[in-house]
Amino acid sequence: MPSLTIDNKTISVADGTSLLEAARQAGVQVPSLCYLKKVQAIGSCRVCLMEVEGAKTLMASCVTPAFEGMKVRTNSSRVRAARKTVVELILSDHEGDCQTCNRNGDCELQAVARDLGIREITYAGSKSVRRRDTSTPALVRDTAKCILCRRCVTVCGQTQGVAAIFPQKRGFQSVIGPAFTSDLADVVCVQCGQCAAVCPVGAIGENDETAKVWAAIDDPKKTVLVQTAPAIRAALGECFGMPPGTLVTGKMVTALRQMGFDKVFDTNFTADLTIMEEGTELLTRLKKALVDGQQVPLPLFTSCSPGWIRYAEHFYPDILPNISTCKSPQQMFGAVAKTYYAEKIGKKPEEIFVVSVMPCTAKKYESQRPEMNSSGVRDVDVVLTTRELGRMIREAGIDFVGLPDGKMDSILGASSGAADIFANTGGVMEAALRTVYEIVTGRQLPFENLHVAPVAGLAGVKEAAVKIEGAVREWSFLEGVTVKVAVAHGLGNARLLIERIKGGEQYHFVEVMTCPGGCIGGGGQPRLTTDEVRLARIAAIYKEDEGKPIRKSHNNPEVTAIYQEYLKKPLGEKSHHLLHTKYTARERV
Amino acid sequence: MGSGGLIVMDEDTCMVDISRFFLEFVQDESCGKCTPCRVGTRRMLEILDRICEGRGQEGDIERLIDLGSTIKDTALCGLGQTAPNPVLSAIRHFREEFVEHIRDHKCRAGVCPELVRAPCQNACPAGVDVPGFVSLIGEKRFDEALALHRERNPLAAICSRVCFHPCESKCRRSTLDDPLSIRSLKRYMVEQEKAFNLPAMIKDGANVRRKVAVVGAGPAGLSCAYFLARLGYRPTIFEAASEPGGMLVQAIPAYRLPRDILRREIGMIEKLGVQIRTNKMLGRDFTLSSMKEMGYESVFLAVGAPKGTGLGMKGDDAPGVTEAIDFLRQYNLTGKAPVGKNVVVVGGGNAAIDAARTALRLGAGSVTVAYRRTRAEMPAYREEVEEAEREGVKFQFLVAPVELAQEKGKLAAVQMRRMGLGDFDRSGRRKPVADPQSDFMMPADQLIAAVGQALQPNEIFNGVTLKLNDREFIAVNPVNGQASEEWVFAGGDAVSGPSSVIEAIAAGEKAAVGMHAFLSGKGEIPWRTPRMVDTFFDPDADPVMGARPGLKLIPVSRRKGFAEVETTWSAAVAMAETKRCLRCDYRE
Ligand SMILES: Cc1cc2nc3c(=O)[nH]c(=O)nc-3n(C[C@H](O)[C@H](O)[C@H](O)COP(=O)(O)OP(=O)(O)OC[C@H]3O[C@@H](n4cnc5c(N)ncnc54)[C@H](O)[C@@H]3O)c2cc1C
Ligand code: SF4
Ligand code: SF4
Repeated sequence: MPSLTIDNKTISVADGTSLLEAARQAGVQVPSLCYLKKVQAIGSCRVCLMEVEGAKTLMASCVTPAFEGMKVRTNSSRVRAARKTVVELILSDHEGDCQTCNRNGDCELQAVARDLGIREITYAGSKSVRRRDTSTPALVRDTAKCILCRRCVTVCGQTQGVAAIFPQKRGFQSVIGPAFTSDLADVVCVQCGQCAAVCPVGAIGENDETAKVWAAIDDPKKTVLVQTAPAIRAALGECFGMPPGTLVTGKMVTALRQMGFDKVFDTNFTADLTIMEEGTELLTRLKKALVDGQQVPLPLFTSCSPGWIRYAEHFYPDILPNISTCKSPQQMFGAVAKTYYAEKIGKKPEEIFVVSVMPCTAKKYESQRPEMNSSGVRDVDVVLTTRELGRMIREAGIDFVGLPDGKMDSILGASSGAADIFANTGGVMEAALRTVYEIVTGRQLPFENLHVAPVAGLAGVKEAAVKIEGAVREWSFLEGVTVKVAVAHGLGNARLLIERIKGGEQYHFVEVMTCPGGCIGGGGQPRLTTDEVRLARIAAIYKEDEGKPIRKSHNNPEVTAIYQEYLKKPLGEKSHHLLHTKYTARERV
Repeated sequence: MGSGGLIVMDEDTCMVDISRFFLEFVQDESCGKCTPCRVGTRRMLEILDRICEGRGQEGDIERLIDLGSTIKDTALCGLGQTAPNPVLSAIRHFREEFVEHIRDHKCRAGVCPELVRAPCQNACPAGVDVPGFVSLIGEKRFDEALALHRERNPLAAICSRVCFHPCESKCRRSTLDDPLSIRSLKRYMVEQEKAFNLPAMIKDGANVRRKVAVVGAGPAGLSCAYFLARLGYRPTIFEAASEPGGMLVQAIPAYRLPRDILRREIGMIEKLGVQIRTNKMLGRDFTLSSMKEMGYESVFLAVGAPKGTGLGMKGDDAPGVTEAIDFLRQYNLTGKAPVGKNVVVVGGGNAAIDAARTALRLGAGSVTVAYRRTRAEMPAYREEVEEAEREGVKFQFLVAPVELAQEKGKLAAVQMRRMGLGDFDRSGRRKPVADPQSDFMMPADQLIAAVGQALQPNEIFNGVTLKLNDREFIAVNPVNGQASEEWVFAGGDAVSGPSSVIEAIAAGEKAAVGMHAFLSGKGEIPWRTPRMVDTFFDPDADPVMGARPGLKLIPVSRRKGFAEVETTWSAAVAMAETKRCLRCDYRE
C-alpha cells in the first residue's frame, strides 16, 4: 500500500496502482485518450502526463506505477502546457469536421480539447493520408479521424483474439488498419464493432443506415415493423444523459411509435422462441447420444451472436456442427414477421419492412448473409444500432426523457423474463435451463430466484452443473445425469473455453457471446462501455426479468400461440425452414 | 549536435538545412507510437522545410524552440526525447542564420535552393544579379548590364575598383577551375558607359514632400539616399567633411580609386534629386533633436567608424605617432601629409596597406608593415599586399609593439615583441601569444597605427540616447536598420564596425526600404523582385573552357604619384571571360 502525495494531497493506494488511477482516486480528473481501464495502458497518446518530483521528463501517468513517497503534480503550468501541446499536435493531424462528425458531442478528443482550453492549433501542418473503408455492412473506418490511440488494436487483438487490425508503417506514416491496407471485408474481421465501441473519436463507427429507415417510414406502401433487442432497453437512456442501467422499455416503445413505425414489436418474443427451439435441440441431441448411442456433436454451442458465428467460421470450422442450427432471435423475428404475421394481416412479405434495433454491429452483417431470406425476401431489412436509434429520436425532436411508457404491440410483442436476460452473459444459458429443467422434471429450476448465479457476472469463463433428479417419464434417461454447462463472453475467452474443450473438458451446453458482458456491451451500444457500465446494465436487465409476471419462455402465451397456429412443434418442418440455418467454413486470413 | 557523433561544418554548411536533415532522419526512425515524436517531429520538419524554402513565418523560431522542448519533455522513448536536440542547439548557436532565412530569405551558405538564385548573387551583400549583368556584357548590352547592376548597387564604378568581391569566393566555376573574375568584368562594363541612364523612379507627390535626411556621405549614406530617391523621396545628406564619399574619399588612396570616378558616381546620385550639404556635422552643427524640430520625419545615420582606436601603450602620444585613418584623411583631403624616414605601420588590414603605400608615394625612406600574425591571417586583400610588396613595402610578421621609445621629445624606435601562434580564437584564426624574452628595437621616426576604428557616440548623439550593440556600435534591427528610436535608422560601419563598401551599400538599401515602410506603411519594392535576363543560354552545352585572366596592372616602374594602378581589360579578354559563367541563375 504505497502512500504518495498528489497535488499536496496524501493518498494510499493498492500495490501496482498506476499514477493515473491513484490520481483519479484522489479526486483528480486526468485527461487521457489511449488509456482504457483494464484493457490498455501503453502511454502512447501522452495526454495523461504528470510531473513527478525528481524525474527528468514528464511521466505518462497511465504507465507509471505509484511508489511510496512519490511527489506528483498534475496541475503545474509545465504539465498544462505540455498536455495542451500534445493535444494540439493530435488535432493538427485530425480531420476536425466536428459539426458533421457522427461523434459530435460524444467525442473524447473534443472533450479533452475543451477541458484543456485549446483555442488554436499552433502547429498546423500536413495531414495523414485519408482512407475510408466502407467494405463491410457493419462498420465504417476513416483514417483521417484516427488519432492512433491503438485502443481498437488492443481490443481486437487481445480482448477478441481476432487481430484483424494493427498499426502499420512508421512515424508520421503510421496507420491503423488491416494488413497491407486491405479492407475489413477481406480479412478475418468478425464485425463485432468492439473497435468502434472503444474508439475515442469518429474513426471507427457503425455504418449509418438511419436514412433508409426514414425512407421506409415515409413510404405508404410499406408496413414498417420494428423489433428491439433485449439489451437496448437498459442502454438507450444513456443517449439522452440518463445514467447507465436506467430501464427505458416503455419510453422506447412510445418513441418508436411517435417516430412512425406501424408496429412496435420485441425481439424478446423470438428470444423465447429460440429457447423453445434450442432447448429442444439440446434435448434431442442428448437423447440421441444417451439413448440411441449415436455420435452427435456435443457440447451444443449457442448461436445467437453473429460475431461469434463468424469467428467460429474463420477460426474453428471444425466445431461448426456443434453450433445450434437455430437462427438468432433477430433473424427468427424477420422470418416470422414476413410469413406468419404477414399472413395474419393479409400482406405479402415484400410489403413488410422489418427494422431491428440491436446493440450490435455484427447484426447488420448477419441480416445481409445470403441465407437470411426464408420469407422469399430479405427477412430483416435494416439493422440500427442503439446509437443510431438514439440519433433518430433526437432528429425527430422527441423529448425522450419526458416520454410516458408505452406497451409493445401484439402478437410479436409478448415476452418472458427469460427473454430479457438474453442481453447479458450467462443469460441465454439461464433462460435455456429454466425451460429445459422444467420440461425434463416438471419442476422449477432449483436456483434462488431462478438465477443461475455461477454463470452470471463478468468472469471471462464460467461454468455450472445441474443434476437432474425426478425426471418425468419421457426424459427418464436423463435421471441422475449432471448437466454441465459453460459460458464465455468476449471472443478471447471463447477461444480459451474452446481450447479447454478440445483438451478434453466435457460440457453439454455452452453459451458464447461475442462481446464482453454480452449484448449489453455490444459494439453498437452508447459509448463508453466500461465494466461499471456493464454491471449497471446487467443489473437493470435482471430487474426487468424479475418484474415480469412470466419468467420462462415456454410460458409465453404468444409463443404457445404461434406453435398452435403455425409452426406446430419445435424443430418441426416449418421451424426447420424458417428458424434454422447453416454455417460456412471460411478462410483464416 | 545532440545526437552523438561529430560533424564537421564550415561556412558552406547551412545550419537550417542541417537541422532539417537531422529531423528527416528521425522521420524514418520514429516508431509512430507516441504523439510528440510522431506528429511533433513532423511538424518541426515542416517548419524547417518552409524556412529553407523561403516561406518561414514570424515566430517560427519560437515555435521550433517551444515544440522541441515539449517533445523532449513528453516523448515516450529516448529517440523522441533527443530528436529535437540538433535543432535546438543549431538555433542556440546560429540563431542569426535562421533569422536571415525567415526575414531576409537569405541562406548565407548558399545551400537552400529556393533562396539562392546563384551562389555569387547570394554572396553579394547587395544581391547584385551577377550572372545577369555578366551575360549582358557578353552580348555587349552594356547599358542594360549597368542598369541591372544599379538596380541593387548604384556605385558600380567605385565597386569595380575597390570591392572585395565576396561573389568570386562563392563562384561555382571554382569547382571546375577558377572563379569568374567578376570585379574585372564590372570594371570593363563601367568603362563602356557614355552617359548616365537614370534608373526607374517612383513618382509620388506625397513622398516628395516628406522630409528625410541622411547623415554621412559615405557609401552607406549615398546608397540609402539613392534608393530613397528611387522611392520618390528627396533626401538631404549632411556630411561633416568638405567632400562627400566617406572613406572612399578620405581614406582609400586615389591610385586605387581615382577621384574623378568617385565624383562622377556621386554626381549621378545628386542627379536623382539628392542634396548633399558638406561641412555639416551632427553633434556640432545640428543634433537629432534639432532635426526633429526642423521637421525631419526620419533619418539615416551613416557616420561610419571615423576614429582610430590607437595603440594604447606607453609613448603613443609622442610626435610622429599617428592613426592611419587620420594620416590618410589628412593627405586625401588636403593634398599633403608629413612622412618620416623610417615609417612603421602597425596592423594587417586595408588601412595599414593603404597607409604604407601612400607613405611610400609621399617619399618615405622605408616603410615596414608590422603585423602580429602571419601573412595568411592578414585581413587586407591579397592583391593589395602583393602590390605593396612589389612597390617596396617591407613586412614583418608575428611581431607586436609593446612600447614606443622617444628621443628628444620625438619618436625614435618601437620596442617589438615576437609572437607565436596559439589556439584558435572566435574568429577562427590562431591567437598570437607573446614571447617576452624576444623583444627587439625597430628604429622609427613615424608610426602609423592601423589597428581599429570606432564610433564616437558621445560626440554625435548629443543627448539623444540610441542603444549600442555589444561592440559599441549602433544597435539596429538587422532587417530594416531601425535603431532604438523608431524614426532613426542606421547602417554601414556605424553599425557593423569597420567593414566594406559593398556591405555599407547593402545596409543603405535595407534602411531605405525600412524608412519607406516606416513613412508610408508600404513594403513593395520594385527592385527586390528578381527577374530573369533575356540573354541567350544553352543549358545543354558543355561549359566553355578557358583560364581566368589576370588583373591588368601598370608596371611598378610607371607607378608615379597617385595614378591608378589597375587598368581595364581588352574587349576580347572581357568577352571571353563572360563566357566562363556557368549561369547558375538559369532555371528551366
Ligand atoms: C584605408 C581604408 C581602406 C579601405 N579599403 C576598402 C576597400 O578597398 N574595399 C572595401 O570594400 N572597403 C574598404 N574599406 C572599408 C570601407 O571604406 C568602409 O567599410 C565603408 O566606407 C563604410 O561606409 P560608411 O558609409 O558606413 O562609412 P564611411 O565611409 O566612413 O562614411 C561615413 C561618413 O560620415 C561622415 N561623418 C562622420 N561623422 C559625422 C557627423 N557627426 N556628422 C556628419 N557626417 C559625419 C564622414 O565624414 C563620412 O563621410 C577601407 C577602409 C579604410 C579605412
Ligand atoms: S469489428 Fe471486432 S473483429 Fe472487426 S476489427 Fe473491430 S474489434 Fe476487430
Ligand atoms: S481507430 Fe479509433 S480506437 Fe483505433 S487507433 Fe484510431 S482512434 Fe484509436
